[in-house]
This record gives sequence, structure tokens and C-alpha cells, in this order.
Amino acid sequence: MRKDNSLLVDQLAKPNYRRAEHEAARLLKEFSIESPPINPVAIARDMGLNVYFVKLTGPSNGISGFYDGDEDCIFVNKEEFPLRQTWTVAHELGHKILHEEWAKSADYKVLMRNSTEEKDFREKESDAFAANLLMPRFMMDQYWDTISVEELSRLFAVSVPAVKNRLSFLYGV
Amino acid sequence: MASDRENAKRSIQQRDAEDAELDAVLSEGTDLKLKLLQETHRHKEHMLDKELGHIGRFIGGREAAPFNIAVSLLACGVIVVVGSLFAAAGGNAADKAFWGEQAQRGFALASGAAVFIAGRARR
Repeated sequence: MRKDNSLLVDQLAKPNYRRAEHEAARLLKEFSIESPPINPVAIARDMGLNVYFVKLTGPSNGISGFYDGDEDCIFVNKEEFPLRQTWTVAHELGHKILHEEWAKSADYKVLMRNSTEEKDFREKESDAFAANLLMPRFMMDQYWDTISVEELSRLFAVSVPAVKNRLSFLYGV
Repeated sequence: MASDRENAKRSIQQRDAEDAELDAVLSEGTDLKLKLLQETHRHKEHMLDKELGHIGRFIGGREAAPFNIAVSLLACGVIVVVGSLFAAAGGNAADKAFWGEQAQRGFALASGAAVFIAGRARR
């Protein structure tokens, strides 16, 4: 019953996108990152986290990646496309920064590759964090209307759908 | 019941610190950035070249032209001074007076240009 209530609270809670954006901007400033592509693996390692590229077996092969509090590290599925691996690392880094306590608890959920589940507020915040870390507005402003979506994807080292989402959010295109 | 994270950790077969494909993607992004930067510079250079025109190409752009003109005037002034002094050395009194006056003008021109250059250098 208590677990059901907490699930309901999670679903109803509003994501704090401003905090996600602020934390991503703070990281970029802290590491003096001023141009793309942003390497989230290097950022995570500079923060003292380990990042491992792993081969998973069985049903776990459908996992994109996950954060592990015991080892303070991020595991990324080796078989994932590299342009999606950057997003996975940034997303998990978002959990570490924004919701560390929860990310260490048993309530934490691993990031699935093709999940159709409704995302809770923490997942939405981590997605916003990843978008702001990998495609910050001030960098997108320089390129979004001068190069194609595919080139933006190559330049920012993120997938084409991620670029399209960001373009739609920032510029309504 | 084990969490999905514990299950995932148990199913790890191999763990690597690096991923060559990801490194390649990131370095491709950097290459593209440099290429775009190069194109932007080339475009700027082309526009600047267009803006300069024939005279601009000779005397320089908005920033460099005053300095280049001052250096040319300094050189002209020095040539006038030296030439006038040589001319004055071999002539009669009237010629000496004439060339002396030209040397003074040349000196005024050269020193004016030198003051301008010194002022620019101090900025």
C-alpha cells in the first residue's frame, strides 16, 4: 500500500526542469566546455565516477545503461549505438547529480533501450539534464539554422531523434 | 526480490573502460566542428576581401590602413629630407635655401607620421 502511494506520488510530482538545466550549465562552466561535441564520459570521470562499457546477457541486453551507487559508476551497454551511449551516460549522470539518494536506493530503475512506460518526474528531469548537457542552448544557437539535422547529430554526438526533439523544444521546428 | 539493477549487474559478461566506437564518434564531431570553423573563417575572409576593393587591398583594411598610410608617409618624409639635403649640398645659395625648405617640409611630414605611429603603438 505504502509502495503504491509512493508510486502515485512519483507519477504526480512535477519535474523541475529549471534545476536540471541549471545543473547542466553549472557542469559545463565548471569544466570550461564551450563547444561541441560534449564528452559525458570525460565529465563523469572528472567528477570521480567510473564509466564502464559492458556486454549484457539475457533480458538485460535490452538495457541502455544504469547507475550503480555501490561502485559509484555508470554502466553503458556496449551494443548500444555510440550516438545513444552519450545520451545514456548523460542521463545517468543526471540521476547521480539530481537524485543521488534515490539512484542508490532499490526504487531506482535501469534505463531500457525501447521503453514505452510512462516516465516519472526523475526520468524526465534526467532527460532534460542530458539534453542541456549535450546540446546546450548557447551552442545550438550557433549551428541549428546553418547545418542539417544529420550534421547536428554528428557535431553534438547525439542521435538524430534527440536532435529533432531538442530543435523542436528550443526553436519549435 | 532482486532489483533490476542487481539483475543487470549479474548479467554483465564483459566490462571495458573504453569504447572505440564512441571515441570515433566524438572525434568525428570534433573534426566536423573544425571543418565548420574553417568554412566560417574562409567565408569571413572572402567577405573581407570583397569589402576591401583594389585600394583597400593595397593600403589594408579599416584597422590597418591608417598605420600603413602613416608608415608610407614616414618613408616619403625621410626620402624627401635625405634627397633635399643631398640636393642642397651641391647647389648655390638660392638652391640651398629652396632645398632647405623642402627638407624642413619633409621633416615635418616624417615627424607627424612618426608621432601618429608612436601614439598607435602606445594604445
